[in-house]
Amino acid sequence: MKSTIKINNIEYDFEMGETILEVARRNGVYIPTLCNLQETKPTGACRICIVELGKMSAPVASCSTPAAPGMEVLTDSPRIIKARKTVIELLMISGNHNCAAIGNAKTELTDFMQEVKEYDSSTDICTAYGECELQSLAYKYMVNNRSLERIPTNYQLENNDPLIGRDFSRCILCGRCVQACTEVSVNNAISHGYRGNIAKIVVRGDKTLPDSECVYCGECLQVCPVGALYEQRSKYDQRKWQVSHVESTCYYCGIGCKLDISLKDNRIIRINGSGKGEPNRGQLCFKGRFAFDFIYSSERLKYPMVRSGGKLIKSTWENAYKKIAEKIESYSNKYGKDSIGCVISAKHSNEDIYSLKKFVENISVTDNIAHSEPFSRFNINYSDIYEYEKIVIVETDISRENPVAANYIKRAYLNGSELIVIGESEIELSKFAGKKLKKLSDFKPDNNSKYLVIHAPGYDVSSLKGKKHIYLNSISRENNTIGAYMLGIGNEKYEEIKKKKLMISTSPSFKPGKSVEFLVAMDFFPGEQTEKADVILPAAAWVEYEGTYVNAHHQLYKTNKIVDPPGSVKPLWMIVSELSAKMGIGSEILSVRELWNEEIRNKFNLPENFLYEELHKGMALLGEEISNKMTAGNGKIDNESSKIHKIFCSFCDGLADVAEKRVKTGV
Amino acid sequence: MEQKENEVISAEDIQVLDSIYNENREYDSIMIYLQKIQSALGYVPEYAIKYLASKTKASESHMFGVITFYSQFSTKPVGKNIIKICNGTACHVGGSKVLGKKLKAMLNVDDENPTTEDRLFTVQPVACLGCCALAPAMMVNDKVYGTLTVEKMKDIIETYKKGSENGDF
Repeated sequence: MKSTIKINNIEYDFEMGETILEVARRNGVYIPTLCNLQETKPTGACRICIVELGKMSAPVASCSTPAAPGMEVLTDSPRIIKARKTVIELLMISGNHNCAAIGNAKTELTDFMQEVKEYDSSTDICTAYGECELQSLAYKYMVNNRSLERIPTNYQLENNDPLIGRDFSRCILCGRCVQACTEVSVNNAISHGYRGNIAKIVVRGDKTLPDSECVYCGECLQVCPVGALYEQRSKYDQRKWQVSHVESTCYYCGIGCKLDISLKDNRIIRINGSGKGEPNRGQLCFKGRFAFDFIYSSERLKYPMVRSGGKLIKSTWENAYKKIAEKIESYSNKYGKDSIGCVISAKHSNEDIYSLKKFVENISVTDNIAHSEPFSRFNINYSDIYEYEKIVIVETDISRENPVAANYIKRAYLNGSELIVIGESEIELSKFAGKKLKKLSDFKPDNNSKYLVIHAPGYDVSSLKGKKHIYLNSISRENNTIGAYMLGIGNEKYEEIKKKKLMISTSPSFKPGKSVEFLVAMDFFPGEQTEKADVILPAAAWVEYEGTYVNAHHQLYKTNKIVDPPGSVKPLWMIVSELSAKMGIGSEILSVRELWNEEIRNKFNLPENFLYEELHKGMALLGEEISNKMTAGNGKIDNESSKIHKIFCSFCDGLADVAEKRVKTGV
Repeated sequence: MEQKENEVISAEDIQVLDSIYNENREYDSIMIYLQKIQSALGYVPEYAIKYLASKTKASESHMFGVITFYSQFSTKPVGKNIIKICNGTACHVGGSKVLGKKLKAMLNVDDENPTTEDRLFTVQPVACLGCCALAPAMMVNDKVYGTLTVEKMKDIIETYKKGSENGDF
């Protein structure tokens, strides 16, 4: 039903159930907010969004008041402006808001700075300066009243966590972090505690974050409107005027979350979730948000190395290529082309994978290249998860593999969906499960409800196939599993290929067996495979070159080059192209653009006008027909490889584990 | 009277919690569980919060928020006798502030640690007991004592001390 409401004497249509704030926003009428957080229930905590409904009534919070027919709303009447000023003023004197927007109450700014220093032992201004929403409101409303006294802060700065710091002197108790924690990521680690002038955002037992149930998704950090929550690693480093922002896409799992990367002096200092739409709606997980500084690690491989006399010795690209070419030729002559194999990680870009495949086709047998990831497909939009009455999780710890997808599932649970967890081990989602089953065979779906089944990629769910009310889906664990399949690389021959005599490996989890006589490893960190390698070629990390990927939803997306790789490190596709050129099996390729436009685009059966230049426009959904065609033959579910996966721990997940452990133990 | 870092939960503790949980399941309300635990144990220990979190949909942090919001709950063990000293207008005028200070000094407690070391008394300030005609007043457990003086307070405390020794008051 449509009705009309008057805002500032202009009539607007609205749907029943919309709040005044929603109607105003939809029509471009500005109402300031602080505690309001998209996609969560309004709390009406901060009172900044108050509006007037007529002289006779008290101001109401527009975020939590539903619009009603015939309402006459004034958003900026003198009375409202005055009230808002008071609200801002009260918030400003409640903490160490030393942003110099105003002198603090009766204290001179310099004296005030000294007071602040006693609290946070820094002479610097607030870490959120320039990005603080309270500060910008204070400017906007010219709050400079000096009649009020500073209210003392009751709680000490919490500085013991290596990732998230909590500054209670700057907390305005808007509760956005609590909403992010309980309604967005549904980890329920924080809550409102105590009351009155000693109110505080608490974790269980009023301990510190490391002692809590916090999983460090950092959602709270992203939504804090002030400087109460800050990232330790970039505390006073992220001044707005020094930082530039670049959009990119996360490379950890199949979801492919959109990122907003903050750069300072050409160095990544912070990553936030970006975008209001699919797939991540601004959310991120622990890995995507915090696990980026490995690219600056001093342990990274920076130059090629060649084994000589049992030791790995620093070498030049020339020498390394020469050595590889020699070996390939001699093995090819001695044992035949089939003695050469290649295992890849499903984390590489399409360009990397395609170049490698072409290279292997030339030096070895066509299909002597594989990765270890089973095929998967996520058919629906992530936000459509809410629409299913019953969600069934089969043998996958989704909060670990694809944490952002787990957030959607937990929110569906809050909206009333029933969760059924099938599997031997207890997972995070078990807490929310209405039913826990040990085996898939115990699962007896009824015919009246709509089921969404999310199973581990490659897990045998054939018993559920062909039923109309059961929707089978899986989410790939690696960011470009689907891209690899589309380019014709599957996991069927992984076990067989990894026993070849001469191996080329780009997979950090590859453990060379005894049958491997000569190993070429392309990697960015020393590890098990590089220890045993005969030639190491240092590869660039994902933010160090541009490329295209295909996510679990079979969407094609592009990532940007954001920082320069260290030393003489090169992207994988470039290494392969140079090596091919040296060996005389193809001309050197100069750019990713060239690779895409001339070859890969056709491999993906994309139309002629789908040029590389067009890709920046965002994600393109590859039609079902196209991706089915591409993966035909490889797309079948393979039980064997799912077992392999269980022992497979990709490097990057390993890194996140290390980081997580470090956080939890403080080591 | 700090709680130990890792409280060892005995089978009896679990039994108490189990029976509280099973008896009040029909209400399915955190408040009810917490109230019953508070009155059974005299406080809501950390292990009880953990227990409830595993049984219900409420998170530990949320329950902690609830417990700290209401003064009817305590996260620290409270004494056998709870003394509520009235701070209402009439009592304030009658000198309740001074009386409160004296009482705390008498029992050697303060606002941070309101419970005596022998766990016999806990002092809680309250806004109003609703018996302004008797100001200044205090309440020990369910009994109200009015027109207090320091001497009178001393006597009352002594009675309870003795009473508790005899197990009868």
